Amino acid sequence: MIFDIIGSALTWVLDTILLPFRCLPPIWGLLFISLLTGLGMISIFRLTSNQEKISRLRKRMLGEVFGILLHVSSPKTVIGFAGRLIGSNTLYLLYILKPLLVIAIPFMLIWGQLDARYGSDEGDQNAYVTITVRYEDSVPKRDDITVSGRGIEVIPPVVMVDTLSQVSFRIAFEDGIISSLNVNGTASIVGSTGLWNGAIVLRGFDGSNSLKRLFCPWVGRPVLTDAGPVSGWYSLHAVRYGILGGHWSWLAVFLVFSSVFAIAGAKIFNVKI
Amino acid sequence: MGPGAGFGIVTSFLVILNAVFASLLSALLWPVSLIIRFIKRRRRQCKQLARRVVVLGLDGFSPHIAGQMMDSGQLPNLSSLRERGTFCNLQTTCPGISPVAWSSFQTGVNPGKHDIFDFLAPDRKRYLATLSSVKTGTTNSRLGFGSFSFNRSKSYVRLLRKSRPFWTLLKKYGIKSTILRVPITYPPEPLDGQLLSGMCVPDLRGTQGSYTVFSEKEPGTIYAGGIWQKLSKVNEQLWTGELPGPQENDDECAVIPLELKTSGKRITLKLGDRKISLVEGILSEWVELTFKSGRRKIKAISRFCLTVNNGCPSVYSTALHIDPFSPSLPISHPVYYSKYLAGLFGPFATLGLAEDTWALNNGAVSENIFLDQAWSIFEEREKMYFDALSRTRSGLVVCVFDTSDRIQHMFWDQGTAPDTPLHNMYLRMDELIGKTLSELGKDDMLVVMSDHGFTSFHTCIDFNRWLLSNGYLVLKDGVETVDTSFKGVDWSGTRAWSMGLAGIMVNMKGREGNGIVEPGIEAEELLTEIAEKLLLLETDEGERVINAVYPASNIYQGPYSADAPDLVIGTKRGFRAGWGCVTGGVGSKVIYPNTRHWNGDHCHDHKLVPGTLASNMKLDSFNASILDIAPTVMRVLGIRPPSYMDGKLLTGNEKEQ
Repeated sequence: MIFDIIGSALTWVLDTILLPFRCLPPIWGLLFISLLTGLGMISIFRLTSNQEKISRLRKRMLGEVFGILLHVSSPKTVIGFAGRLIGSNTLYLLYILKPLLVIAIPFMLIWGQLDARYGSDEGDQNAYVTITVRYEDSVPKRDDITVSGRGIEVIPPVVMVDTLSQVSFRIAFEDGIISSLNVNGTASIVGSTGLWNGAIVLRGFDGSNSLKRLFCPWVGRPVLTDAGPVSGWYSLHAVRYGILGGHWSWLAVFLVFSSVFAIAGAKIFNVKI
Repeated sequence: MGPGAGFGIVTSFLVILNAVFASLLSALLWPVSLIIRFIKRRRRQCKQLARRVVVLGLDGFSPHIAGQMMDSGQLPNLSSLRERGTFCNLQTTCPGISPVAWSSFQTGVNPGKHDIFDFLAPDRKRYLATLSSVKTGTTNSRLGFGSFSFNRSKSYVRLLRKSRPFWTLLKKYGIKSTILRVPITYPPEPLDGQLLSGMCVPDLRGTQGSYTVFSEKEPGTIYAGGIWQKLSKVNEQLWTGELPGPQENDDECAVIPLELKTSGKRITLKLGDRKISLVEGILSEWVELTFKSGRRKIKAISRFCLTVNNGCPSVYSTALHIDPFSPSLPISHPVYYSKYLAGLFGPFATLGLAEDTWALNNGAVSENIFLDQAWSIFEEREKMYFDALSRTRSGLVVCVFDTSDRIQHMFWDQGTAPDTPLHNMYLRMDELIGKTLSELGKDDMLVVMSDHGFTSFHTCIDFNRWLLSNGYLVLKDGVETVDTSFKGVDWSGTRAWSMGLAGIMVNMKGREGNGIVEPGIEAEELLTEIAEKLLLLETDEGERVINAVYPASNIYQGPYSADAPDLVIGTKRGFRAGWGCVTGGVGSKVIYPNTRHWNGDHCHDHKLVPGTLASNMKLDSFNASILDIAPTVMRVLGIRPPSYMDGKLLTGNEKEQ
């Protein structure tokens, strides 16, 4: 229950932040969140790390690098400095462990939200999507399986995998409608939960675990029935973003730009990283 | 986790990759560098007598005091050198002043060939004192064309010492050197190895060291060598002020706002975005400061000390040393050598005259704080020195420690009884020699040396007043005394003037700006007359104060002899040029007591203050001179010294000689 509340609150916060970007191409919203994340993470890093120690250690590491340069003709000395450098680096990782642990939870939550919003295509009309659902115990008889939906067209055949308690079938999206799926009474949304850019795109449903939905908001909460499946997943296509002539995944965009913004923030606010 | 994890993992990966790559590259290049070194070493003209030569310079280390302490069973390490190797006096240069002597040490030539005759070099056209070893200035150039042109100014720093340090000659023979804090090596000259500049490295204000004192009321002391800044009281717990930094233009300098806060027993000093806790009477660690000058950021380091008198706080700040990790001026070769040292050992004093003798002279710091500062600088240097020893297994290591000089300057009058600063200093220097000996192998040569000795300085002699009293110098009507720079001197009637610690110059026509004495016979006769009269100068008690007067033409040979003072005065022990006359002042008395804390000195007749030479090798100690060190070290390393060097070999007679 508590996880659902936190998840809903987080979704609301992200929806609000992304409000100005709803009509813009999704990359703008993603870049803006990367900026906020970069600056936010660097602020947390500053607050939770021992800046003095990190600064001193980084200078020492640079000193060791210069030691290698100064004595490059003496392999023994160079190897000595290389060993010290690796030792200092291990110490550096220990120094940043605390801020990393503090940052871990909020970062995973944001990660999930962004993956849900920018990771998958909201439903391509030109391609079929395979839907796989899993039943709690055993798969009902073929004739007892009912699949229907709103905004989707179910494409036969329905394939049953008894050993895994799974049933698979394909669907095609209709245009401009929030699509829903009903399998033996278990109802869930498929694809986008809103008609704006940056809305959460559901790639599955799971009735059992609300903690999973907190960190993986692309998993929707279904309306369960005894006869219906308990979970399912949809094979939506991953989205690629065109930046600087390349096709970037949302993750690449996020990691690169949040890092760039974090470095810029560190430079501006004099944070030792 | 996100950027943090990204930095951590990516940088760690890169660090490990680079470390492994550097190790592999070094191992691969090693045979190549070995071959190059082998070829270069074959150029040596004679047999190498030691694999490594270590020169440990102890500025002002007196052979007289050391001898006495050794005779009384102290200084065991120096005693062991005396027993199995060499311990003797080392003749210093004339005058026996650090910049002159260390220049002769590094070049192996007399001052007439390296052009350093004093700390100060007189500007003969304007009768002004300038620094003898370094010239810092700005060149203006116009870039662009027509209306699109703009002025561009560029700063430069030029070393004025001529000739070549002997370690720069070793490169040709594949011999590596590590040179630490040898005076008159700023700005650094390229060599095969690394060098950290010493004496004459300026502070960020462009001076040779000016400390700052912050207080509510201006102190009564004359703050030569320091500046006073007002500390404004905001309330009972808060004071504010400004720390002046480097000059931005003629009138303004970059500043860092300062806040002093007290909260109970806790006292915090905030400098810009830096916050440090101060404990009364204790010198803080180095504090990194960033001055913003236009778009530029200039980094400095400084240490702070708080004193409280009758509830009024006063903060002392050392001179603004150039930050060795981000040097704004070239203080090492290669440039990253100072970064390497600062990275491994933390920030360290970079100012040429790092120990704040002026602050103690003026009462801005106590004796204890001065000693703390001096010894912490010694410890910083010790770390660098032993790092150099451990990494330079063959070749040359030279390191100069100044602590011995500064402590003797400031505490000479306390004598050498046990537990006095001088006594402790000699013991500690002996420990340093011991530690050095334990680092050496059987093929290594150790040379312990000093540039001069020491003696007392209890009485000042105002040479300009003496010249005035004897009619050689004339003041304008109504002028009784001159503070500095000969303001008020009537040059049309002046025949001689004194500037620096031991020099008298004739006001020569064609050479000086307003010269009146004809060069040749007239000048010669005048110099002879002055020299004869000076030798008769005595105190009210009838004690002669001048030991010898040396005409420059007799003591200097070389292309720069003409830059020397015409007469170099050798005072007796206890007597030295007065404080004012050094920079062109004319006081009210010729002879007057020295009341400053600076009560030991070596600016006397150079024959009275020889330096020390000690070695683990038997050297020819007869008439050993500081000029002999360079050729001797070269010879020990298997190189025949160049013929222009004036020094002789102390290694004895050999065929190669």
